[in-house]
Amino acid sequence: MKDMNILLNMRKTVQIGVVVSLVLIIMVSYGATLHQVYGPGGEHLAGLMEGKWSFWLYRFFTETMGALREPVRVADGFKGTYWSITVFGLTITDPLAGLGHLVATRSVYIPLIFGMLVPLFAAMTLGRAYCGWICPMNTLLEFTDKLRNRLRRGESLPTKDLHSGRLNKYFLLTALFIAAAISGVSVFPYLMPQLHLGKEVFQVVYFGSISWGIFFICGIILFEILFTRRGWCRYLCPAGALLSLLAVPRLLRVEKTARDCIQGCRSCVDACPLGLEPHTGASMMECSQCGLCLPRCEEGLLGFRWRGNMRLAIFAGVAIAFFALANTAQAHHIRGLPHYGYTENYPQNPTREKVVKHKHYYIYVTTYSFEGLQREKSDTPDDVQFYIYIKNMKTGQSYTGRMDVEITRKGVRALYHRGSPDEEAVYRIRHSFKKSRGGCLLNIRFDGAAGREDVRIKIKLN
Amino acid sequence: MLTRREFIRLSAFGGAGIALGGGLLLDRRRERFLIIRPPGALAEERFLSSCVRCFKCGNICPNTAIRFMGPEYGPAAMDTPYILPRDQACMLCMKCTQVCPTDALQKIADDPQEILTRVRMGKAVVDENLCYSYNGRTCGVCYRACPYPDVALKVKLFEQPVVLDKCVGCGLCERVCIHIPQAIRIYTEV
Repeated sequence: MKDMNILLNMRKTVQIGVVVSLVLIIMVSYGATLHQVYGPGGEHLAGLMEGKWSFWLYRFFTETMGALREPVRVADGFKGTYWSITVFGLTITDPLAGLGHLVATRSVYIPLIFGMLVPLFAAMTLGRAYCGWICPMNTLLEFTDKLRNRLRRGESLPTKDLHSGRLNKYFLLTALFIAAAISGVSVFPYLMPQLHLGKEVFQVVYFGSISWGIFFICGIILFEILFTRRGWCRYLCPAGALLSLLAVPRLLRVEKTARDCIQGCRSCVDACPLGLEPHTGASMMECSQCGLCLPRCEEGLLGFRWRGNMRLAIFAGVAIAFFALANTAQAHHIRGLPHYGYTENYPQNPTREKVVKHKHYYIYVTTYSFEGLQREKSDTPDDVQFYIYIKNMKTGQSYTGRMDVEITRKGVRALYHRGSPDEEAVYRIRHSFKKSRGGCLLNIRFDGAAGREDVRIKIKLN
Repeated sequence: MLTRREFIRLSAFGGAGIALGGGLLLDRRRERFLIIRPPGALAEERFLSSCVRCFKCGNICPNTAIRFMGPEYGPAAMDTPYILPRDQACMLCMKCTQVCPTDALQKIADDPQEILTRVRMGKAVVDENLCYSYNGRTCGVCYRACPYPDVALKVKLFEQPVVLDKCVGCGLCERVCIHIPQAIRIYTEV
């Protein structure tokens, strides 16, 4: 029993270690970026320009990596998340990403194939161990399991069979391969919760925002909490399906010794988060090697067995890793910074703009809401200035005639007339909103060559 | 092998796959307007096939110039990298091309001559109706920002900028232009 606890603790350590190291990679990456933009000793500048968070990340980078001779160069050797990762300058790519690329582009890219070899070999020897030991979605779901069990006072959610069939994930994999082959777009990344988790961390650290993937993750978690354990992993996950197919000849297996079970005992079946039957061995290619069933067997019959020659397998693994990874290693070059336009030289320059094509006119709307360091303290924090510029792409001429602009927000309308541009060819309109957050609608009317033109443009304010 | 029910389910999934593929194909062919891809990118349609959406280019960019598309750009281009030069321009370090696991961003060495011959992110176009230097004042900020002065961008008398054929489209000139809206702008096809 004791060595089983060691195994379970080891798994937990690996799971947490993987999540923590990937978050660290992203945080250090952003620290390196700030370090390059604001230069050595620029943490206060970074804090002033981009907020407190950047100040801390800059400090984090200098505290952790500052002792190295070329910290940025070292940080450049560690990039990426679960879909494709670079560690020590070596690239490892998810086999599904590689196969998706192969099918979508109908061409072979050799470095990508080399990057896939290590995970392919791991899947063929260790089975679906990625799911049980590394996948962050599984780690997250194990955490929500715990949370839920605590909320329900120890009564755990059963691994209910939804009678929807495990074959569904293979069907979904087939369907996605068909879609990728037809459209030429690798569709797998859209459906990978582990990729979305990495992406959300990236978005939060880099841009302070979240993206659409969060809805996907929340959907899976909700399904998990309301219906059954690991519904996604069992019935739909395409990566799980691919790994299961690769795991058919696997060498590491959870198996029962020759003795018979106690009649009617289903402890291992209840323990399995994937709803498998370790005691009969049916469809065990889907086993995620998590080992949760081992300590639950009262007779101690279950255990990891290694089939085949372990020494040969380890030798082959090391050889493949050596050849595959050595091929993807590349030197990284660092170049000096250009002399200009690199940091925020013109912090007051408005950069938010919307470009709309209307017939052969290009309409450029630049929005400036007097943002600056002291915006909240200014006299008119809710004023917004619109710079409207219209260009006829056929003749290359700018429009300089009369223009009516109607600004609509929450049913309140304001109409502005201009007989001619305010400066050069730009129409400048300053409007006071009740509150300058959210969106508004611009209705621009001007005289085109073929009569009156009417364009509606949606603008996002901050 | 498969029961009748499972076969029906497989057909349903297959049909959904075909429908999804068709929809994405139409969306992939659609024209996307004023999109600047990172340096070394393949032609737009092939780029959408090759990009595996791993976010490493945005992760390594030392200038936070690389952004990722949201759903508003259409399903076929979702999560692919692009650059908004006015917000933050590319400073041609070529790190993103080195880290890209696929051929979506072609590997380009960090060598000024190689960058000049192989990078074509777009081309700068000066709007003479807007530019201060063409309207009685002198400015010349874009010329001073250009990484290839006199090769990609030269100035006439009174600092009037003229874009030459070798422009790589990095967007540093658009980034620094002091006119609102910017008088020099990167267009992918001219």
